[in-house]
Amino acid sequence: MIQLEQVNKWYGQYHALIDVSERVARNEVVVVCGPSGSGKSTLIRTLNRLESIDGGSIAIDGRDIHARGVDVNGLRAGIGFVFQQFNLFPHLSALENCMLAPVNLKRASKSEAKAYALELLDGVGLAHKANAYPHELSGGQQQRVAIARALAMRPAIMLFDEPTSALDPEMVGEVLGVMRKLAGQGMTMVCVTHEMGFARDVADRILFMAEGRILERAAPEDFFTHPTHPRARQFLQDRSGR
Amino acid sequence: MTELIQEYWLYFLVGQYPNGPLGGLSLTVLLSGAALVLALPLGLMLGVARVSPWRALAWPVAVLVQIVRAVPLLLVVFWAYFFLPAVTGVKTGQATTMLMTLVLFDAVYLAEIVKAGINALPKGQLEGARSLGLSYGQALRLVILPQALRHVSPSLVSQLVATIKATSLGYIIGLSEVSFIATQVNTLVFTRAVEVYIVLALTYFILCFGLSRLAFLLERRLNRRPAL
Repeated sequence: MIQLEQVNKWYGQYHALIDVSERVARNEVVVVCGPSGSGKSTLIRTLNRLESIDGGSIAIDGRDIHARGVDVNGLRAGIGFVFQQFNLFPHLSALENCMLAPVNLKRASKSEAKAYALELLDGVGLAHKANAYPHELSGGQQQRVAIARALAMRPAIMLFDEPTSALDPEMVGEVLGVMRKLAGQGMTMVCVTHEMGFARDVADRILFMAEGRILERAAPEDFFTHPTHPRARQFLQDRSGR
Repeated sequence: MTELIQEYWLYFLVGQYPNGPLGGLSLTVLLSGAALVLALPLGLMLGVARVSPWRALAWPVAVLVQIVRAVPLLLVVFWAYFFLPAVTGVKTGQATTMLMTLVLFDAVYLAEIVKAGINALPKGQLEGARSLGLSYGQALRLVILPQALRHVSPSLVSQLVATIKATSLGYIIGLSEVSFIATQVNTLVFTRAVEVYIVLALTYFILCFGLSRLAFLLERRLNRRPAL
């Protein structure tokens, strides 16, 4: 479904992504992990063109998404993106956040969009907060609304960029719970996350990145029990020490 | 003071109208009103252009802002009235000249305020909107501007109030707005300068205070929604 070929990206002199090639199949849940500065956020942001690439290609359903003339808005409308900082729109209620894009992109009438938004909010356990504004919600609730907002466009792929990193520890579980549920429904997901428990339980595959390269790709049980690359071993050791 | 008002209130209010062009307080109100109505949308457009990712749009506006900001309004009024007709051959009236100058000046200052409002928002707001498939224009209209304008509304109101006061510079090109009329009255009665100018000051105060109250009420209506 998603196919990366020799993707390269530079920030000035800094080589952020080096020859990254990878495939993500439909219905697959892929977790990308690695130390900070390894390029994992950059990588996931290239998948809906929030970042450009300088070499190689990324195809979704066989279509080169970084090619000239690609309808970038149409592309993004089909890919949900969840940010570390939620990025809810503070001037709109939870419900309005979820209705904004479907209504304005003419994907649904107002009443259809509202019904579906309420259904999604219910799905993330926040039907009772539909009329609340973001500042009235906890971090975990905001992130769950953000997930519902992304789902409101009925995307075929969901991208998560460290969705729990800005949350207080006691709120991580509720967001991961929503993500588990999504995975269970067969959503194609790419998740950048440090939540190794989630990775172990939910991921079909784990990609380990460091310094702009994918150094290891493995099924969770292999990755956690016998990582092959020394950097991956080091990474897991450092994390288990916490 | 009452006899002063009794004698000159009509002159103060409308100038020589209907025996001459409309002047006095009416002209000041009309001129400020027209300047506000024209400058607000223009300022908004310039502000949006100034922060736009397209250089061809942002650059000319940046240059315009730098130039206009560096010149005293008084000088621009002068030039527009005396210099421009000499070059273009088109003679514009005093009121039109003053209006165009005010709109240009105001729009440029408003543009800077709009720019500040937009730039103060977290970058994630635009990204959040774009990630849903909204175009840049939609993101601006639906997500960025509603927040940005609300944040900078106090500065916007200050700028609009300043516009009312700036109409008094029409005096320099003989525009018979309310300051000009007050000066005329002062010349006629000669000995009552303090009273004449107190009335003038009160008039400006009422206009400006009225506008800021109106803005406050409008803002409160909009703010039925929560603070950001």
